[in-house]
Amino acid sequence: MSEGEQQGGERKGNYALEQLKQVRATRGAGTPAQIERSRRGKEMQNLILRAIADEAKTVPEISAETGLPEQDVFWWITALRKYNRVQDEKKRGDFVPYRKK
Amino acid sequence: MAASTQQLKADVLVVGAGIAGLQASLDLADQGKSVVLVERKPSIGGTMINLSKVFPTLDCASCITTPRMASVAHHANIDLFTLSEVDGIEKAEGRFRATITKRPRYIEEDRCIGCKRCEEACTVFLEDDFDHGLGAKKAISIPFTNAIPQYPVLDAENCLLCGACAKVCPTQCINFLQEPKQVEVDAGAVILATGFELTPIDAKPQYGRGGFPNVLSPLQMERLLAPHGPYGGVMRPSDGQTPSSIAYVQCAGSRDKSLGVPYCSRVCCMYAIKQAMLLSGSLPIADITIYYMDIRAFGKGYEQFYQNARAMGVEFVKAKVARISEDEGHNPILRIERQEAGTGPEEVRHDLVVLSLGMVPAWKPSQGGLIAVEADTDGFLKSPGMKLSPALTTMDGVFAAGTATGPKDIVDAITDAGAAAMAATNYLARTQPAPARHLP
Repeated sequence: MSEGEQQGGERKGNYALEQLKQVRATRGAGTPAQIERSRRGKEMQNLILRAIADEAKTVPEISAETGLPEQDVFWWITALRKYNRVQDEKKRGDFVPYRKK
Repeated sequence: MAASTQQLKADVLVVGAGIAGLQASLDLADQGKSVVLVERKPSIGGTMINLSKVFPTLDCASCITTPRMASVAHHANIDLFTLSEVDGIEKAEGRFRATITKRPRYIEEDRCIGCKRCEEACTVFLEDDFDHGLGAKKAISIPFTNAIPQYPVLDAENCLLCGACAKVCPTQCINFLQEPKQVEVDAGAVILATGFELTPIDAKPQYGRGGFPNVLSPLQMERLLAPHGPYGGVMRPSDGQTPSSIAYVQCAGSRDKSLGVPYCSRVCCMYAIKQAMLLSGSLPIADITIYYMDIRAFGKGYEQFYQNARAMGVEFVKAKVARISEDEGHNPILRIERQEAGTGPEEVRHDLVVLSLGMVPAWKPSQGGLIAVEADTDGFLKSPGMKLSPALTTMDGVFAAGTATGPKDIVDAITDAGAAAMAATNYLARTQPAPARHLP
Protein backbone atom coordinates (compact mmCIF):
# COMPACT_ATOMS: atom_id res chain seq x y z
CA MET A 1 0.00 0.00 0.00
CA SER A 2 1.33 3.43 -0.93
CA GLU A 3 2.06 6.23 1.49
CA GLY A 4 -1.03 8.29 2.26
CA GLU A 5 -3.32 5.39 1.43
CA GLN A 6 -5.63 3.92 4.05
CA GLN A 7 -7.33 0.57 4.33
CA GLY A 8 -10.15 0.13 1.81
CA GLY A 9 -8.54 2.45 -0.74
CA GLU A 10 -9.56 5.68 1.07
CA ARG A 11 -6.91 8.35 0.79
CA LYS A 12 -6.36 11.16 3.23
CA GLY A 13 -5.03 14.58 2.28
CA ASN A 14 -4.14 15.08 -1.36
CA TYR A 15 -2.16 12.02 -2.23
CA ALA A 16 -0.99 13.20 -5.68
CA LEU A 17 0.04 16.65 -4.44
CA GLU A 18 2.29 14.97 -1.87
CA GLN A 19 3.82 12.94 -4.69
CA LEU A 20 4.28 16.08 -6.77
CA LYS A 21 6.58 17.54 -4.13
CA GLN A 22 8.83 14.49 -4.49
CA VAL A 23 8.80 14.61 -8.31
CA ARG A 24 9.46 18.36 -8.41
CA ALA A 25 12.39 17.87 -6.05
CA THR A 26 14.00 15.32 -8.36
CA ARG A 27 12.92 16.52 -11.82
CA GLY A 28 12.12 20.21 -11.44
CA ALA A 29 8.85 21.72 -12.66
CA GLY A 30 9.48 21.79 -16.42
CA THR A 31 12.47 22.75 -18.56
CA PRO A 32 13.03 26.44 -19.44
CA ALA A 33 11.86 25.65 -23.01
CA GLN A 34 8.61 24.06 -21.73
CA ILE A 35 7.96 26.97 -19.38
CA GLU A 36 8.59 29.50 -22.15
CA ARG A 37 6.30 27.58 -24.53
CA SER A 38 3.58 27.52 -21.89
CA ARG A 39 4.00 31.26 -21.21
CA ARG A 40 3.83 32.06 -24.93
CA GLY A 41 0.78 29.80 -25.32
CA LYS A 42 -1.07 31.58 -22.51
CA GLU A 43 -0.15 34.96 -24.03
CA MET A 44 -1.56 33.91 -27.42
CA GLN A 45 -4.73 32.50 -25.84
CA ASN A 46 -5.30 35.77 -23.96
CA LEU A 47 -4.71 37.91 -27.05
CA ILE A 48 -7.14 35.83 -29.10
CA LEU A 49 -9.82 35.66 -26.41
CA ARG A 50 -9.59 39.42 -25.89
CA ALA A 51 -9.98 39.99 -29.64
CA ILE A 52 -13.19 37.96 -29.82
CA ALA A 53 -14.65 38.90 -26.43
CA ASP A 54 -17.27 41.35 -27.78
CA GLU A 55 -17.54 40.47 -31.45
CA ALA A 56 -17.18 37.31 -33.52
CA LYS A 57 -14.19 37.43 -35.87
CA THR A 58 -12.62 35.23 -38.53
CA VAL A 59 -9.05 33.94 -38.36
CA PRO A 60 -7.66 36.61 -40.76
CA GLU A 61 -9.47 39.32 -38.75
CA ILE A 62 -8.07 38.03 -35.44
CA SER A 63 -4.63 37.76 -37.01
CA ALA A 64 -4.80 41.36 -38.26
CA GLU A 65 -5.89 42.61 -34.84
CA THR A 66 -3.42 40.66 -32.72
CA GLY A 67 -0.44 40.53 -35.07
CA LEU A 68 -0.24 36.75 -34.62
CA PRO A 69 0.30 34.51 -37.68
CA GLU A 70 -2.98 33.16 -39.13
CA GLN A 71 -1.83 29.57 -38.72
CA ASP A 72 -1.13 30.05 -35.00
CA VAL A 73 -4.44 31.85 -34.51
CA PHE A 74 -6.34 28.98 -36.14
CA TRP A 75 -4.53 26.33 -34.09
CA TRP A 76 -5.39 28.15 -30.85
CA ILE A 77 -8.99 28.73 -31.98
CA THR A 78 -9.21 24.98 -32.61
CA ALA A 79 -7.79 24.26 -29.16
CA LEU A 80 -10.07 26.74 -27.37
CA ARG A 81 -13.08 25.52 -29.35
CA LYS A 82 -12.41 21.92 -28.30
CA TYR A 83 -12.31 22.94 -24.65
CA ASN A 84 -15.50 24.97 -24.92
CA ARG A 85 -14.07 28.46 -24.58
CA VAL A 86 -14.89 29.58 -28.11
CA GLN A 87 -17.99 29.07 -30.23
CA ASP A 88 -18.65 29.19 -33.97
CA GLU A 89 -20.96 31.80 -35.45
CA LYS A 90 -22.76 31.76 -38.81
CA LYS A 91 -20.30 31.48 -41.69
CA ARG A 92 -19.24 34.69 -43.47
CA GLY A 93 -18.10 33.93 -47.01
CA ASP A 94 -15.37 31.29 -46.86
CA PHE A 95 -14.63 31.85 -43.18
CA VAL A 96 -16.27 30.96 -39.87
CA PRO A 97 -16.28 33.77 -37.29
CA TYR A 98 -15.50 32.76 -33.71
CA ARG A 99 -16.64 34.33 -30.44
CA LYS A 100 -15.52 33.88 -26.84
CA LYS A 101 -18.05 31.87 -24.82
CA MET B 1 13.14 -11.36 -12.82
CA ALA B 2 11.66 -8.50 -10.77
CA ALA B 3 9.38 -9.53 -7.91
CA SER B 4 6.58 -7.36 -9.30
CA THR B 5 6.58 -9.05 -12.74
CA GLN B 6 3.07 -10.20 -13.65
CA GLN B 7 2.95 -13.69 -15.17
CA LEU B 8 0.25 -14.89 -17.51
CA LYS B 9 -0.39 -18.03 -19.47
CA ALA B 10 -2.48 -17.89 -22.63
CA ASP B 11 -3.27 -19.92 -25.69
CA VAL B 12 -2.39 -17.07 -28.06
CA LEU B 13 -0.51 -13.80 -27.78
CA VAL B 14 -1.79 -11.19 -30.26
CA VAL B 15 0.49 -8.21 -30.92
CA GLY B 16 -1.37 -5.13 -32.13
CA ALA B 17 -4.97 -4.08 -31.51
CA GLY B 18 -5.91 -2.51 -34.82
CA ILE B 19 -8.84 -3.98 -36.71
CA ALA B 20 -6.90 -7.17 -37.63
CA GLY B 21 -5.64 -7.78 -34.08
CA LEU B 22 -9.12 -7.11 -32.66
CA GLN B 23 -10.78 -9.48 -35.12
CA ALA B 24 -8.20 -12.26 -34.60
CA SER B 25 -8.54 -11.92 -30.80
CA LEU B 26 -12.34 -12.07 -30.96
CA ASP B 27 -12.31 -15.06 -33.31
CA LEU B 28 -9.97 -16.93 -30.97
CA ALA B 29 -11.73 -15.91 -27.76
CA ASP B 30 -15.13 -16.89 -29.16
CA GLN B 31 -13.69 -20.37 -29.78
CA GLY B 32 -12.75 -20.61 -26.10
CA LYS B 33 -9.07 -19.77 -26.52
CA SER B 34 -7.42 -17.51 -23.96
CA VAL B 35 -5.81 -14.44 -25.56
CA VAL B 36 -3.36 -11.81 -24.38
CA LEU B 37 -3.70 -8.75 -26.62
CA VAL B 38 -0.95 -6.13 -26.50
CA GLU B 39 -1.26 -2.61 -27.94
CA ARG B 40 1.46 0.05 -27.80
CA LYS B 41 -0.96 2.99 -27.99
CA PRO B 42 -3.17 4.10 -25.06
CA SER B 43 -6.34 2.95 -26.85
CA ILE B 44 -7.20 0.00 -29.05
CA GLY B 45 -8.73 0.53 -32.51
CA GLY B 46 -5.65 1.17 -34.65
CA THR B 47 -5.89 3.29 -37.78
CA MET B 48 -9.49 2.34 -38.52
CA ILE B 49 -10.86 4.25 -35.52
CA ASN B 50 -9.14 7.31 -36.98
CA LEU B 51 -11.10 7.16 -40.25
CA SER B 52 -14.29 9.01 -41.15
CA LYS B 53 -15.98 6.46 -43.41
CA VAL B 54 -14.96 3.31 -45.26
CA PHE B 55 -15.05 2.52 -48.97
CA PRO B 56 -16.99 1.44 -50.99
CA THR B 57 -20.04 1.44 -48.71
CA LEU B 58 -19.36 4.79 -47.01
CA ASP B 59 -20.28 3.23 -43.66
CA CYS B 60 -19.14 5.10 -40.57
CA ALA B 61 -15.73 3.64 -39.60
CA SER B 62 -16.21 4.36 -35.92
CA CYS B 63 -19.63 2.65 -35.92
CA ILE B 64 -18.00 -0.56 -37.20
CA THR B 65 -14.88 -0.44 -35.04
CA THR B 66 -16.24 0.69 -31.68
CA PRO B 67 -18.46 -2.36 -31.05
CA ARG B 68 -15.49 -4.66 -31.81
CA MET B 69 -13.32 -2.62 -29.46
CA ALA B 70 -15.94 -2.91 -26.72
CA SER B 71 -16.34 -6.67 -27.32
CA VAL B 72 -12.59 -7.17 -26.95
CA ALA B 73 -12.40 -5.05 -23.80
CA HIS B 74 -15.23 -6.99 -22.13
CA HIS B 75 -14.44 -10.51 -23.36
CA ALA B 76 -13.78 -12.94 -20.52
CA ASN B 77 -11.12 -14.76 -22.56
CA ILE B 78 -9.08 -11.67 -23.52
CA ASP B 79 -6.49 -9.97 -21.29
CA LEU B 80 -5.85 -6.54 -22.78
CA PHE B 81 -2.67 -4.53 -22.28
CA THR B 82 -2.64 -1.00 -23.70
CA LEU B 83 0.29 1.44 -23.65
CA SER B 84 2.41 -1.70 -23.67
CA GLU B 85 5.33 -2.85 -25.81
CA VAL B 86 6.41 -6.40 -26.48
CA ASP B 87 10.15 -6.30 -25.77
CA GLY B 88 10.83 -9.76 -27.13
CA ILE B 89 9.35 -13.17 -27.83
CA GLU B 90 11.40 -16.35 -27.58
CA LYS B 91 10.41 -19.84 -28.53
CA ALA B 92 11.43 -22.68 -26.24
CA GLU B 93 10.11 -26.21 -25.93
CA GLY B 94 7.21 -25.50 -28.27
CA ARG B 95 5.96 -22.50 -26.27
CA PHE B 96 6.47 -18.77 -26.69
CA ARG B 97 7.70 -16.59 -23.84
CA ALA B 98 7.08 -12.88 -24.29
CA THR B 99 8.27 -10.02 -22.12
CA ILE B 100 6.05 -6.97 -22.14
CA THR B 101 6.60 -3.51 -20.68
CA LYS B 102 3.45 -1.68 -19.63
CA ARG B 103 4.30 2.02 -19.66
CA PRO B 104 2.81 4.25 -16.95
CA ARG B 105 -0.37 6.26 -17.62
CA TYR B 106 0.20 8.01 -14.27
CA ILE B 107 -3.42 7.10 -13.57
CA GLU B 108 -4.61 4.34 -11.27
CA GLU B 109 -7.09 2.62 -13.53
CA ASP B 110 -9.05 0.98 -10.71
CA ARG B 111 -9.79 4.42 -9.25
CA CYS B 112 -10.32 6.54 -12.41
CA ILE B 113 -13.95 7.18 -13.37
CA GLY B 114 -13.15 8.88 -16.71
CA CYS B 115 -14.78 12.18 -15.64
CA LYS B 116 -12.26 14.30 -17.65
CA ARG B 117 -12.01 16.91 -14.87
CA CYS B 118 -8.21 16.53 -14.95
CA GLU B 119 -8.21 17.27 -18.68
CA GLU B 120 -10.38 20.36 -18.24
CA ALA B 121 -8.12 21.68 -15.47
CA CYS B 122 -4.81 21.06 -17.25
CA THR B 123 -3.25 24.23 -18.67
CA VAL B 124 -0.74 22.63 -21.05
CA PHE B 125 -1.93 22.42 -24.67
CA LEU B 126 -0.19 20.00 -27.05
CA GLU B 127 -0.68 18.86 -30.63
CA ASP B 128 -3.19 16.02 -30.69
CA ASP B 129 -1.69 12.95 -32.35
CA PHE B 130 -5.18 11.50 -32.90
CA ASP B 131 -5.90 14.51 -35.15
CA HIS B 132 -2.39 14.27 -36.65
CA GLY B 133 -1.35 17.63 -35.25
CA LEU B 134 -4.33 19.58 -36.63
CA GLY B 135 -6.09 19.74 -33.28
CA ALA B 136 -5.07 20.16 -29.67
CA LYS B 137 -5.09 18.05 -26.55
CA LYS B 138 -3.98 18.66 -22.98
CA ALA B 139 -0.93 17.16 -21.24
CA ILE B 140 -3.38 14.90 -19.43
CA SER B 141 -6.16 13.68 -21.69
CA ILE B 142 -8.33 10.78 -22.79
CA PRO B 143 -6.91 9.95 -26.26
CA PHE B 144 -10.22 10.42 -28.10
CA THR B 145 -13.97 10.37 -27.45
CA ASN B 146 -14.55 6.65 -27.91
CA ALA B 147 -11.13 5.47 -26.77
CA ILE B 148 -11.04 2.12 -25.02
CA PRO B 149 -10.09 2.06 -22.21
CA GLN B 150 -11.61 5.43 -21.23
CA TYR B 151 -8.72 6.53 -19.04
CA PRO B 152 -6.58 9.60 -19.51
CA VAL B 153 -2.84 9.47 -20.09
CA LEU B 154 -0.48 11.98 -18.57
CA ASP B 155 2.28 13.11 -20.93
CA ALA B 156 5.14 13.17 -18.43
CA GLU B 157 7.51 14.74 -20.98
CA ASN B 158 5.36 17.85 -21.29
CA CYS B 159 3.67 18.03 -17.87
CA LEU B 160 4.71 21.14 -15.96
CA LEU B 161 3.89 19.45 -12.62
CA CYS B 162 1.53 22.29 -11.67
CA GLY B 163 -0.81 19.90 -9.86
CA ALA B 164 -4.00 21.40 -11.38
CA CYS B 165 -5.20 17.93 -12.40
CA ALA B 166 -4.55 16.40 -8.98
CA LYS B 167 -6.42 19.20 -7.23
CA VAL B 168 -9.67 18.52 -9.11
CA CYS B 169 -9.54 14.73 -9.33
CA PRO B 170 -12.51 13.43 -7.28
CA THR B 171 -11.01 9.96 -6.79
CA GLN B 172 -7.34 10.89 -6.32
CA CYS B 173 -6.39 8.51 -9.09
CA ILE B 174 -3.44 10.48 -10.44
CA ASN B 175 -0.16 8.83 -9.51
CA PHE B 176 2.92 10.84 -10.45
CA LEU B 177 5.21 8.08 -9.16
CA GLN B 178 3.87 5.29 -11.33
CA GLU B 179 6.63 3.16 -12.89
CA PRO B 180 6.69 0.84 -15.91
CA LYS B 181 5.49 -2.68 -15.13
CA GLN B 182 6.86 -5.92 -16.52
CA VAL B 183 4.59 -8.69 -17.72
CA GLU B 184 5.66 -12.16 -18.87
CA VAL B 185 3.36 -14.17 -21.09
CA ASP B 186 3.68 -17.88 -21.78
CA ALA B 187 1.68 -18.55 -24.97
CA GLY B 188 1.11 -21.51 -27.26
CA ALA B 189 1.04 -19.41 -30.45
CA VAL B 190 1.57 -15.82 -31.57
CA ILE B 191 -0.30 -13.60 -34.03
CA LEU B 192 1.52 -10.52 -35.29
CA ALA B 193 -0.94 -7.79 -36.26
CA THR B 194 1.59 -5.00 -36.13
CA GLY B 195 -0.04 -2.89 -38.83
CA PHE B 196 1.30 -0.14 -41.04
CA GLU B 197 2.39 3.46 -41.10
CA LEU B 198 2.06 5.97 -43.90
CA THR B 199 5.18 6.89 -45.83
CA PRO B 200 6.49 10.07 -44.21
CA ILE B 201 4.98 13.29 -45.58
CA ASP B 202 8.37 14.96 -45.35
CA ALA B 203 10.15 12.31 -47.44
CA LYS B 204 10.00 14.04 -50.83
CA PRO B 205 11.82 17.36 -51.24
CA GLN B 206 9.91 18.02 -54.48
CA TYR B 207 6.63 17.99 -52.48
CA GLY B 208 7.86 20.48 -49.90
CA ARG B 209 9.10 18.07 -47.23
CA GLY B 210 5.92 18.51 -45.19
CA GLY B 211 6.56 22.23 -44.81
CA PHE B 212 3.43 23.55 -46.55
CA PRO B 213 0.48 23.93 -44.14
CA ASN B 214 -2.13 23.26 -46.83
CA VAL B 215 -0.54 20.05 -48.10
CA LEU B 216 -2.04 17.30 -45.96
CA SER B 217 -1.63 13.60 -45.37
CA PRO B 218 -4.68 11.42 -46.12
CA LEU B 219 -5.16 10.70 -42.41
CA GLN B 220 -5.28 14.44 -41.70
CA MET B 221 -8.04 14.72 -44.31
CA GLU B 222 -9.84 11.78 -42.64
CA ARG B 223 -9.92 13.80 -39.43
CA LEU B 224 -11.23 16.91 -41.23
CA LEU B 225 -14.01 14.77 -42.74
CA ALA B 226 -14.87 13.06 -39.43
CA PRO B 227 -18.00 14.32 -37.63
CA HIS B 228 -15.96 15.19 -34.53
CA GLY B 229 -12.93 16.45 -36.44
CA PRO B 230 -10.72 19.21 -35.09
CA TYR B 231 -12.23 22.11 -37.06
CA GLY B 232 -15.87 21.08 -37.21
CA GLY B 233 -15.58 20.92 -41.00
CA VAL B 234 -13.11 20.94 -43.88
CA MET B 235 -10.92 24.05 -43.62
CA ARG B 236 -7.37 25.03 -44.46
CA PRO B 237 -4.92 24.70 -41.56
CA SER B 238 -3.18 27.92 -42.61
CA ASP B 239 -6.11 30.29 -42.08
CA GLY B 240 -9.40 28.44 -41.49
CA GLN B 241 -10.70 29.14 -44.99
CA THR B 242 -13.17 26.70 -46.54
CA PRO B 243 -11.36 25.43 -49.65
CA SER B 244 -13.01 25.73 -53.03
CA SER B 245 -10.38 23.74 -54.93
CA ILE B 246 -8.89 20.52 -53.58
CA ALA B 247 -6.39 18.23 -55.30
CA TYR B 248 -5.18 14.68 -54.64
CA VAL B 249 -1.72 13.62 -55.72
CA GLN B 250 -1.72 9.87 -56.29
CA CYS B 251 1.30 7.62 -55.82
CA ALA B 252 2.88 10.29 -53.59
CA GLY B 253 4.51 7.61 -51.47
CA SER B 254 4.19 4.39 -53.46
CA ARG B 255 5.60 3.02 -56.73
CA ASP B 256 8.59 5.23 -56.00
CA LYS B 257 12.02 3.61 -55.86
CA SER B 258 13.55 6.84 -54.54
CA LEU B 259 11.55 6.28 -51.31
CA GLY B 260 12.35 2.57 -51.19
CA VAL B 261 8.66 1.86 -51.83
CA PRO B 262 8.54 0.34 -55.34
CA TYR B 263 5.24 -1.46 -54.71
CA CYS B 264 1.64 -0.25 -55.07
CA SER B 265 0.00 0.40 -51.68
CA ARG B 266 -3.34 -0.85 -53.04
CA VAL B 267 -5.64 1.41 -51.02
CA CYS B 268 -4.57 4.93 -52.07
CA CYS B 269 -6.76 5.12 -55.18
CA MET B 270 -9.79 4.03 -53.24
CA TYR B 271 -9.27 6.23 -50.17
CA ALA B 272 -8.66 9.24 -52.43
CA ILE B 273 -11.88 8.51 -54.35
CA LYS B 274 -13.77 8.00 -51.08
CA GLN B 275 -12.49 11.29 -49.65
CA ALA B 276 -13.28 13.07 -52.93
CA MET B 277 -16.87 11.79 -52.76
CA LEU B 278 -17.21 12.85 -49.12
CA LEU B 279 -15.80 16.27 -49.97
CA SER B 280 -18.31 16.58 -52.81
CA GLY B 281 -21.00 16.04 -50.20
CA SER B 282 -19.66 18.44 -47.58
CA LEU B 283 -18.41 21.13 -50.01
CA PRO B 284 -20.83 20.87 -52.97
CA ILE B 285 -19.38 23.79 -54.92
CA ALA B 286 -15.72 22.82 -54.51
CA ASP B 287 -13.68 21.54 -57.46
CA ILE B 288 -12.00 18.25 -56.65
CA THR B 289 -9.22 16.94 -58.87
CA ILE B 290 -7.35 13.65 -58.62
CA TYR B 291 -3.97 13.55 -60.38
CA TYR B 292 -3.22 9.90 -61.07
CA MET B 293 -0.99 7.52 -63.03
CA ASP B 294 -3.65 4.78 -63.24
CA ILE B 295 -6.64 3.93 -61.08
CA ARG B 296 -6.54 0.56 -59.35
CA ALA B 297 -10.08 -0.30 -58.30
CA PHE B 298 -9.65 -4.02 -57.73
CA GLY B 299 -12.13 -5.03 -55.00
CA LYS B 300 -15.82 -5.86 -54.99
CA GLY B 301 -17.82 -2.77 -55.85
CA TYR B 302 -14.70 -0.63 -56.25
CA GLU B 303 -14.97 0.00 -60.01
CA GLN B 304 -18.58 1.14 -59.60
CA PHE B 305 -17.46 3.38 -56.72
CA TYR B 306 -14.86 4.96 -59.02
CA GLN B 307 -17.45 5.47 -61.77
CA ASN B 308 -19.83 7.03 -59.23
CA ALA B 309 -17.11 9.53 -58.26
CA ARG B 310 -16.65 10.49 -61.92
CA ALA B 311 -20.40 10.88 -62.30
CA MET B 312 -20.49 13.12 -59.22
CA GLY B 313 -18.10 15.51 -60.94
CA VAL B 314 -14.75 14.56 -59.41
CA GLU B 315 -12.16 15.39 -62.08
CA PHE B 316 -9.59 12.70 -62.83
CA VAL B 317 -6.46 14.01 -64.55
CA LYS B 318 -3.90 11.51 -65.80
CA ALA B 319 -0.74 13.35 -64.83
CA LYS B 320 2.28 12.92 -62.65
CA VAL B 321 2.87 15.80 -60.26
CA ALA B 322 6.53 16.74 -60.57
CA ARG B 323 6.74 19.41 -57.90
CA ILE B 324 4.67 21.29 -55.33
CA SER B 325 5.40 24.84 -54.22
CA GLU B 326 3.21 27.47 -52.56
CA ASP B 327 2.46 31.16 -53.05
CA GLU B 328 2.48 33.87 -50.38
CA GLY B 329 -1.10 32.95 -49.38
CA HIS B 330 -0.04 29.32 -48.71
CA ASN B 331 -1.95 28.14 -51.81
CA PRO B 332 -0.23 24.99 -53.10
CA ILE B 333 0.95 25.18 -56.72
CA LEU B 334 1.30 21.87 -58.58
CA ARG B 335 3.63 21.51 -61.52
CA ILE B 336 2.08 18.81 -63.71
CA GLU B 337 2.29 17.34 -67.16
CA ARG B 338 -0.95 15.93 -68.54
CA GLN B 339 -0.26 12.55 -70.08
CA GLU B 340 -3.25 12.51 -72.39
CA ALA B 341 -3.30 16.10 -73.65
CA GLY B 342 0.38 16.31 -74.63
CA THR B 343 0.39 20.01 -73.77
CA GLY B 344 3.67 20.16 -71.85
CA PRO B 345 4.26 21.16 -68.25
CA GLU B 346 1.85 23.56 -66.55
CA GLU B 347 1.27 24.97 -63.08
CA VAL B 348 -2.09 24.62 -61.33
CA ARG B 349 -3.06 26.37 -58.11
CA HIS B 350 -5.32 24.75 -55.51
CA ASP B 351 -6.53 25.79 -52.05
CA LEU B 352 -5.71 22.45 -50.44
CA VAL B 353 -3.73 19.38 -51.53
CA VAL B 354 -3.75 15.84 -50.16
CA LEU B 355 -0.78 13.57 -50.83
CA SER B 356 -1.91 9.97 -51.28
CA LEU B 357 0.85 8.49 -49.17
CA GLY B 358 1.66 4.80 -49.26
CA MET B 359 1.90 2.10 -46.63
CA VAL B 360 5.06 0.85 -44.95
CA PRO B 361 5.25 -1.67 -42.09
CA ALA B 362 4.87 -0.26 -38.57
CA TRP B 363 7.26 -2.95 -37.37
CA LYS B 364 9.91 -4.32 -39.68
CA PRO B 365 11.46 -7.67 -38.85
CA SER B 366 14.78 -6.14 -39.93
CA GLN B 367 14.52 -3.77 -36.92
CA GLY B 368 14.92 -6.82 -34.69
CA GLY B 369 13.59 -6.82 -31.16
CA LEU B 370 10.16 -8.36 -31.25
CA ILE B 371 10.71 -11.82 -32.71
CA ALA B 372 13.09 -13.50 -35.17
CA VAL B 373 10.78 -13.87 -38.17
CA GLU B 374 11.96 -13.02 -41.67
CA ALA B 375 11.09 -9.97 -43.74
CA ASP B 376 10.10 -10.01 -47.38
CA THR B 377 11.83 -7.82 -49.98
CA ASP B 378 9.26 -5.05 -49.35
CA GLY B 379 10.08 -4.94 -45.62
CA PHE B 380 6.75 -6.47 -44.53
CA LEU B 381 6.60 -9.91 -42.88
CA LYS B 382 7.50 -12.75 -45.19
CA SER B 383 4.69 -15.19 -45.77
CA PRO B 384 6.12 -18.42 -47.21
CA GLY B 385 2.67 -19.72 -48.10
CA MET B 386 1.17 -16.55 -49.58
CA LYS B 387 -1.09 -18.40 -52.02
CA LEU B 388 -2.50 -21.18 -49.84
CA SER B 389 -1.72 -20.14 -46.24
CA PRO B 390 -1.25 -16.37 -46.16
CA ALA B 391 -1.22 -16.26 -42.35
CA LEU B 392 2.02 -18.27 -42.06
CA THR B 393 5.32 -16.60 -41.21
CA THR B 394 8.78 -18.09 -41.34
CA MET B 395 8.50 -19.32 -37.73
CA ASP B 396 6.27 -22.26 -36.88
CA GLY B 397 3.52 -21.14 -34.49
CA VAL B 398 3.80 -17.45 -35.41
CA PHE B 399 1.07 -16.12 -37.68
CA ALA B 400 0.45 -12.75 -39.33
CA ALA B 401 -2.76 -10.78 -39.69
CA GLY B 402 -3.73 -7.60 -41.50
CA THR B 403 -1.18 -5.23 -43.00
CA ALA B 404 1.76 -6.87 -41.19
CA THR B 405 2.38 -8.86 -44.40
CA GLY B 406 1.71 -6.06 -46.89
CA PRO B 407 -0.68 -3.27 -47.87
CA LYS B 408 -4.33 -4.26 -47.83
CA ASP B 409 -7.73 -2.70 -47.31
CA ILE B 410 -10.00 -3.20 -44.29
CA VAL B 411 -12.01 -6.02 -45.86
CA ASP B 412 -8.86 -8.00 -46.64
CA ALA B 413 -7.33 -7.22 -43.24
CA ILE B 414 -10.40 -8.61 -41.46
CA THR B 415 -10.49 -11.71 -43.69
CA ASP B 416 -6.79 -12.17 -43.04
CA ALA B 417 -7.34 -11.92 -39.28
CA GLY B 418 -9.90 -14.71 -39.42
CA ALA B 419 -7.44 -16.86 -41.36
CA ALA B 420 -4.68 -16.18 -38.80
CA ALA B 421 -7.01 -17.07 -35.91
CA MET B 422 -7.99 -20.33 -37.60
CA ALA B 423 -4.36 -21.17 -38.41
CA ALA B 424 -3.38 -20.52 -34.78
CA THR B 425 -6.24 -22.74 -33.54
CA ASN B 426 -5.15 -25.56 -35.85
CA TYR B 427 -1.56 -25.16 -34.70
CA LEU B 428 -2.61 -25.34 -31.03
CA ALA B 429 -4.70 -28.44 -31.69
CA ARG B 430 -1.68 -30.06 -33.31
CA THR B 431 0.97 -29.04 -30.79
CA GLN B 432 -0.72 -28.57 -27.43
CA PRO B 433 -3.99 -30.44 -27.30
CA ALA B 434 -5.98 -29.21 -24.33
CA PRO B 435 -9.69 -28.97 -23.64
CA ALA B 436 -11.22 -25.73 -24.79
CA ARG B 437 -12.41 -23.54 -21.97
CA HIS B 438 -14.59 -20.52 -21.28
CA LEU B 439 -16.86 -21.36 -24.18
CA PRO B 440 -19.47 -18.64 -24.33
